[in-house]
Amino acid sequence: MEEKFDAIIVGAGAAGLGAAYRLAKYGFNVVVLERGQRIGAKNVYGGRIYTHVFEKEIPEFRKEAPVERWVKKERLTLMNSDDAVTLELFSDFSANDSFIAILSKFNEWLGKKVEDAGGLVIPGIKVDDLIAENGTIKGITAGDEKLYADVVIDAEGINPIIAKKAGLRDDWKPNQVAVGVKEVIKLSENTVNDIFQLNEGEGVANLFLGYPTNYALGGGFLYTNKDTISLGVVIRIDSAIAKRIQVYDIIEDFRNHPFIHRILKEGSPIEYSAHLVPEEGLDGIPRNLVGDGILLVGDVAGFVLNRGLTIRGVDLAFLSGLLAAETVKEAHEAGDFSRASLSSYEEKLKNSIVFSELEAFKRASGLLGNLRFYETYPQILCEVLKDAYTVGENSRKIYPILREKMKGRLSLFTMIRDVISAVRNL
Amino acid sequence: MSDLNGVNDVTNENGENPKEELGEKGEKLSIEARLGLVAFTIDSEPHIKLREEVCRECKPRYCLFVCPAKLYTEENGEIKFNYEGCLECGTCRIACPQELDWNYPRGGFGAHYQYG
Repeated sequence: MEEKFDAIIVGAGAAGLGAAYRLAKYGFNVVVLERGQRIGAKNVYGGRIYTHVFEKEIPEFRKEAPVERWVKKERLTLMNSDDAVTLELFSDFSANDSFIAILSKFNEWLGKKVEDAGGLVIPGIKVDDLIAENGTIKGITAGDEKLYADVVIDAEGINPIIAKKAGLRDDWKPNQVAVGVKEVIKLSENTVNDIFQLNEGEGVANLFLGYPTNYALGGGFLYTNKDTISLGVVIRIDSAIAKRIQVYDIIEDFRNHPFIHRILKEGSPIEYSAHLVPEEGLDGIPRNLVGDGILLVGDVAGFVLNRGLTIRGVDLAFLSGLLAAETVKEAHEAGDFSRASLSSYEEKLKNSIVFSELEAFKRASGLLGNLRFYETYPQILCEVLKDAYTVGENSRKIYPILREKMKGRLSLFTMIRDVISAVRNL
Repeated sequence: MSDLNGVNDVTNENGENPKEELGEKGEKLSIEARLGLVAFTIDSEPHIKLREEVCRECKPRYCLFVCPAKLYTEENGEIKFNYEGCLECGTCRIACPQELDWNYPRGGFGAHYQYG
């Protein structure tokens, strides 16, 4: 099949499908090649998506998208091996600006939108290499097949096999990415509502610090789907190495923590999965996001924002795909797919929330590399509150308890500095 | 793609038969039991290849504990790797101090996540 397309897109995740959707709407002859047996088969994430970008782009989004639950409660839990301290924000969140979804199903839906718009999505095909002529990308190879296009949009995801071949990025270092593992546990819809005190369609997003990662850099998460729970642990790889974390069993320790066990004991695990997450924010983005005949979108470009309280990537991925599509349209009109012509993509990103948000929290990733947030604070907070709530003959005030627990572990000065730094940068 | 015969033969249907209940505290599911929950189509060729002589010399051997599927094991001082059950995350490649010959399985093969 020596057919020529206007654009070939590598990977049917949120980024690739965003690019395909917009290009198909422009009337371009576009094909998305997906290595999974079906769309969504290889996608794994925590659980939450922010709506605004999707709502703007896809008019029927609210009616059609496969939403599990709308987030009504935001929780942060600090844990030691026995106890847990939870901070909860309950709000009516009437704007409904984030929802919990299964990414496999969400991308499957996005794929249908692309096909409805006239785009072609072919699952079961892994792109192996790029075809370059005089340094310009002209197409891809998949097995023995060759496919040509004016431009290739690389939406391959976190593992940069194709982007490395294009010379656009190096592989990630262990301090730039985290490994996430997830278990999905089946309950009933009513049980989920009862346990988390939710009305129909309402959900909880719960992040955890401390025990879930065995005090390594990272966190745990719990998202309420309609009748299942997504429970996971994310650990930065350098920290997993330094602490010799047995990553393959970490989720079991978390699930058996008394705080989690009492919630999930009646459930049945139905799937286990793993995936990498970019962790470095702005610093993890390669210098060049375009080459001659190629653009990078989504995870391979590092568009994930971790600001401690929230982590977002799917919306940024989708938006980067839309901006790549706009760029390709302009390049098509100019008849020029050179690096210089495609570099307006980088300008578009800089003027969008992809960069403004990453820029606003550019010091978050440095701060989040502070091990005390995972090791010291969750343990001290649990111990202090437990003592403060324990009534006995020698009840003490909070301050002396705090000083006792801090002894040899943390100075008052360091604590104050960390708190100020957290408030300023997160 | 002519070489994709059998793609629909999902070899592991355990996803349809989840473990009954999680039971009492302290009961951990083994990694083997958890991998049994994932639907796979196993390719005949491994997509990740170790170089025996490099692995033999490797001291840190991070792969033994960072792989979320515990596919790297040690036998008589040699590192053994089983590509079946690979969750395709890439952690081993990032953690490996050597150059690991890492790739995804061929199109249509490997894990088929339903709740990813």
